[in-house]
Amino acid sequence: MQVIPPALDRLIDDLGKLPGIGRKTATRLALNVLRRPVGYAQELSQALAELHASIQLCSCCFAFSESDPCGICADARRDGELVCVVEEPGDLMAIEKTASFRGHYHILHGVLSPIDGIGPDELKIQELIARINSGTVKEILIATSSTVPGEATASYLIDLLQNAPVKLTRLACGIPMGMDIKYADRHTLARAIESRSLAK
Amino acid sequence: MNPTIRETDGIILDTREHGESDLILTIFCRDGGRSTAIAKGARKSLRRFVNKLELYSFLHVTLRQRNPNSMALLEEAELHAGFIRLRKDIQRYTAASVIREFTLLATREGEADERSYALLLWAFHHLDREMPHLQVVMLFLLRFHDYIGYRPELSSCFHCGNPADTRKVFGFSTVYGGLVCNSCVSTNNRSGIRLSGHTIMMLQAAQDMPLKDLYRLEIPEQQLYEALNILHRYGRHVLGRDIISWTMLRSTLQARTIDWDIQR
Repeated sequence: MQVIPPALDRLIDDLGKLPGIGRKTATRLALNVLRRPVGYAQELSQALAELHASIQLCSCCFAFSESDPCGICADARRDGELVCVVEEPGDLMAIEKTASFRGHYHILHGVLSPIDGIGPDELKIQELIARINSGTVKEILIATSSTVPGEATASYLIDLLQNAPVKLTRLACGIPMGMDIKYADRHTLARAIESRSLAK
Repeated sequence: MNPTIRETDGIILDTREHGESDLILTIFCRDGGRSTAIAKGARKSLRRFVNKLELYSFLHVTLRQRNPNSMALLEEAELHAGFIRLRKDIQRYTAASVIREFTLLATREGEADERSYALLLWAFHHLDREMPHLQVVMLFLLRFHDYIGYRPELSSCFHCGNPADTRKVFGFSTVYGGLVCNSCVSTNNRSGIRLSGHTIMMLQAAQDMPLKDLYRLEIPEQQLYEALNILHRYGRHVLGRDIISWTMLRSTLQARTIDWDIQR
């Protein structure tokens, strides 16, 4: 006897394919959708259906956008000479939230991961070189994460762009705000000391 | 059943995000071999595990396990070494990836092997220092095949027993995991990958030398490439599939130069 109706079971299966969602969480989400008014499910399904039709990659920075170029690349008030290189669209959103960066972006869409078969050719690195060669960029800020793959990707980019006609900078790395330095590991602390900045 | 608590040293070979804030880790431990553990809240906590749970981190860990079938819970982790150079040099990063991938494919959960653990630690330690990265990979693969029960037979031809020496050229058969001499190649239709006598002698020495002395070996480039070639192919035969990281290891050997259209 089938306990879960097939339509609900299908939704649970589909939600369970998303990262970080197991069958238990998928069941909870599916039941939540079911308990809400029917309009909510219709809106959700419409939003999902329109996703691929309305969103594309910006041909300049490779962010997800409804227009090409995206809102950031098309904004004349932003500094197009400064380009921040990030791993994923989510990183762009995190930097935008700070409201302290007014340049453009370049999204690599991943990091070097030999075990997953992701080498330089699988990332948007050739496109970054083409962008530098266009002559509009004066500074590249490499803002990949401080994880092992993120740092390895940054090191690769720094080697590759060593002779590029641009200023090359790397996101600072050190003690997070609100952290007691007693709890920092020695590598982070050493990096923070190496990257110290003038206080006056 | 009372939970068991295990305190040991280990190297992180894999990290996977789980749920909102957890990490699932594959740790190769001194006691217990390859172990999977969940680190609750590891991605959000600023204090508990802050950036200790990185790939290739060498840690002292405390693992709690409710029963033999459940996943262990990582309770504490103390960083011994982070092998920082692996992140700063793409060739060393890729070499570490080959070692990591081979270990993950060739071992199973809970198979304790202190020799494999010591070899892994030796490999990451030397990748973090001056030893050429390809030499580390080659020596690791040579010894690791031995530890998992696939020691390459390098003393004589597996077919006729003709002993190896520096004056002869042998082939290496990945199917038999050993040498095949020239006469057996022609008369018995055996095939093998070409291996010079000097390379065979070097590999024999590297097989039995104490781990702590391996760094003293000076390996000429030609011998290193010959040895890597057979170990790569032998590994592919043993594992039944290729090592994905190998493609990038090969490509990082070719220097990439860019012609900049504009000048600074």
